[in-house]
Amino acid sequence: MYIFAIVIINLINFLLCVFILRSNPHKKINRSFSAIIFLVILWSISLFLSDQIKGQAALFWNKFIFTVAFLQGAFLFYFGALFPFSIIKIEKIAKYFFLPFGILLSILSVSTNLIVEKIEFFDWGTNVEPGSLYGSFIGFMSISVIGMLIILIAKYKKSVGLERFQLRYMFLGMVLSAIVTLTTNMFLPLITGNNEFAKYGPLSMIFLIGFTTYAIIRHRLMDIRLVIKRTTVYVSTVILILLFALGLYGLELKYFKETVPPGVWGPIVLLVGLIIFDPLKKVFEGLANKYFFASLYNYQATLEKLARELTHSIDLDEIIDSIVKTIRDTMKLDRTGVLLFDEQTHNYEVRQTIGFTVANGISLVRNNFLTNYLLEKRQPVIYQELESLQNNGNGENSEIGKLKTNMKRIEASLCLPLIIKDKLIGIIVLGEKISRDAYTDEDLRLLESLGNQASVAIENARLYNNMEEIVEAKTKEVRQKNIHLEKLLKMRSEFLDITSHQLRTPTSVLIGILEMAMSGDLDRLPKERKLQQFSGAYLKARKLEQIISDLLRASELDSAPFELELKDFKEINLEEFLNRAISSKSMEAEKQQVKIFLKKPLPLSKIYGEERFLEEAFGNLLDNAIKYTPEENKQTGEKGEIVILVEKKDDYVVIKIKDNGIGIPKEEIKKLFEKFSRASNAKEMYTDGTGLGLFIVKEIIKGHKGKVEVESKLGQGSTFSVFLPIEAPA
Amino acid sequence: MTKQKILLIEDDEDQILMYQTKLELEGFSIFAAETAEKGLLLAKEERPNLVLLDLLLKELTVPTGLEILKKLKAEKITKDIPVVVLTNFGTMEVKQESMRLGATDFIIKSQITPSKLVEIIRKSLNKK
Repeated sequence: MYIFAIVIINLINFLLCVFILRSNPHKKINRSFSAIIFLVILWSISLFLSDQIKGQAALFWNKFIFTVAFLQGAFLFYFGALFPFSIIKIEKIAKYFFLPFGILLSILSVSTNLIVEKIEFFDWGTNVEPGSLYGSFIGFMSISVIGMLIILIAKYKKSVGLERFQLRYMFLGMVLSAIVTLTTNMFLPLITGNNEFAKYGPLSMIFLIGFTTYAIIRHRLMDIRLVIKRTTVYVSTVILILLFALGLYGLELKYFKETVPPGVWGPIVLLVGLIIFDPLKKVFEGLANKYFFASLYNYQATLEKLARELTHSIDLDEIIDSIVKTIRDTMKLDRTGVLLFDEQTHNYEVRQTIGFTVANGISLVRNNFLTNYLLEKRQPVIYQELESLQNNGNGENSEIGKLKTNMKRIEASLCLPLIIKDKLIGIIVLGEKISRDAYTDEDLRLLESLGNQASVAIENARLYNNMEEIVEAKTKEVRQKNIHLEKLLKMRSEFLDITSHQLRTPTSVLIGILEMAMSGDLDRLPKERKLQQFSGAYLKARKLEQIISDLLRASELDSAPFELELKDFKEINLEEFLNRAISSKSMEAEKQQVKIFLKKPLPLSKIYGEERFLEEAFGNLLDNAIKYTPEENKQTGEKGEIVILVEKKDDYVVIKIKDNGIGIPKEEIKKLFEKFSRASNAKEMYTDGTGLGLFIVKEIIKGHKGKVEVESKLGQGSTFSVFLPIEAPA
Repeated sequence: MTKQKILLIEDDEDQILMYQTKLELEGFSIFAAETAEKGLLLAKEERPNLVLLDLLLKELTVPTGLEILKKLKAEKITKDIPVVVLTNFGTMEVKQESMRLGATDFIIKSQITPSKLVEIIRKSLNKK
């Protein structure tokens, strides 16, 4: 039995030793603890052998026990200095004092009689005589072990997060080992008077070793309290059922021995046990949840609650609020924040923070190392784990370093990525738990689920907001189009009203004069008067033609801009052209009592273009000049006159039509060349304009690759300048 | 028999000349006003027997003639003078408005001849 126990337990120890060493051969913690485990194995073996072997070899093995013990003491102290984080001064003391001293003492104990002097065999057992320096054993071991405990307790007080966990585990292991050892080596011998149990003592070291190994290797530890809780529940259930089963057996023995055949009762009990196991466990779980570490949250309940909250809202701020609150309240954190990717700035902008200092730069740039890492791994990143990743000597050392810097800068202990369809839409940044515990596996699973739900909810809210914006924009667009349409319709009806008026005016005069001619009324008039009437009618008829022509032109130019092809550009004699233009308007000019001059000599003789069209353009310009120049200028008192000037400027010939008429108000010059625009003061003189003339001029000149400009002074006159390229386009 | 006085409120010279010729030949006494102001003044001073009113005077798009009509019908001196609207601005809206404001008739210039106008004038005067 004992042999069996020794073999199994030492095998496990051996496995753990190898395991620790292999997981990180470079770390001092791992190496020193492996040594400790190894020494425990030796200790176990030597205890066994010292007990079993008789004779001279027994002395050796007894001495060997102490050899191993001294080394153990030294290494324990050393380990205490290193685990879970190193205190340099103490490490140095351990390395330069304890270890050498321990080695010295261990050599002494094996090679001399100073520690163990001799050994005597009796019937009742063995007696070991301590040597003269036996006291050093007590002394050294006490100092090492107590020293180690003091250091570890001090560290525990200072520790945070992961390290705290690790120490807790180690303490738990120690406590368990201590309890067992005390039981086997002290209580049971006292009670039973039998020393047999003492040899099981060392085997209890497995607890310490096991728990510490776990603490060293695992990065993320299950919350110990959860472990205790679960174990307690399970064990309680098992014990209760066992008791129940035993009770049933007792019943059977007492009452049913005759009635029930043997072999039947067993399965019946088993069946009952199995059936009630699960419900019973749940009962204990419920009790445990209530009274035992009640602060530990219920994973499922949290998720469900959040899921419900998230489905209630599509308001982005509300969603972020409830996510942040839930995480903070459930896990009791000191800092929480949410960053969301902003499409416009291409940064991850802060949406909400609680507990972060204002000064830190919590907004990250898009292609930041951290964000890339989060997107790639799709898992939460914990700052403390980066440390151990780094120490494990992965090839990504510098990258891990960058990650750490990034996280440190934003005071993040944990970064939870929010990912939708390969896009990192945001990050939830968490600080430390208020209890200074580390994040456990359960925490991370909860966070990952929360993260997924959050991502979906946020993305939905975003999409909804986008939809709202799009709909709003479209509605605005439609409304604007409607307004525009209304305006157009109004303009069109106004246009019809005016145009019909313009067309009717000359028509009525024509009809009138013709009727009067037919009826003989005109014959009754003096000759002068008769001529006056006829010429009036004649001009009105021409005016009518002009209006019709303007309307037609404007309509054409509306659908297709006027473009002159290269072959249409012909040579035109400038002086002749201008003279013809002037004479074509002579009747109108005379009627208005306005004179038109052409300033000579002309700086050039030829221009290029399509003569017919240029006639139209200049015709319109002269019409305007005549229309808006009174016989006598009210302001200056000058006699109304129009001068045509020709100049050269860069590559253009400039033909200016300068009048001293009523001028144009400054604000209206810009709109002059638009369709139907007439300056407000035009109505002073002439209500017969279609408003199309200048528009037509502009289009024709544009087609000639030229331009038209106007300068004017209100009340004093206007100058219209036509720019035409000197050379015909090639 | 005194000549009937006709006030013509019209801004187109050729129109004025034509109507003056015809109406004088027909034995009316004509005086013309080219602006709204002048028209109202002459109406008050000369007390014509009839007013011929064009709607579009100096303001394009706004038939200022309607304003004159309103004023004529508001003043004690002029409210009984028959006003014949004689215009080329022929929207239904404006026609309706003119009749509501008290015009005796609404004529589109290009749709009648001078003789026809004389008839209409005579009819309006006799109605009184």
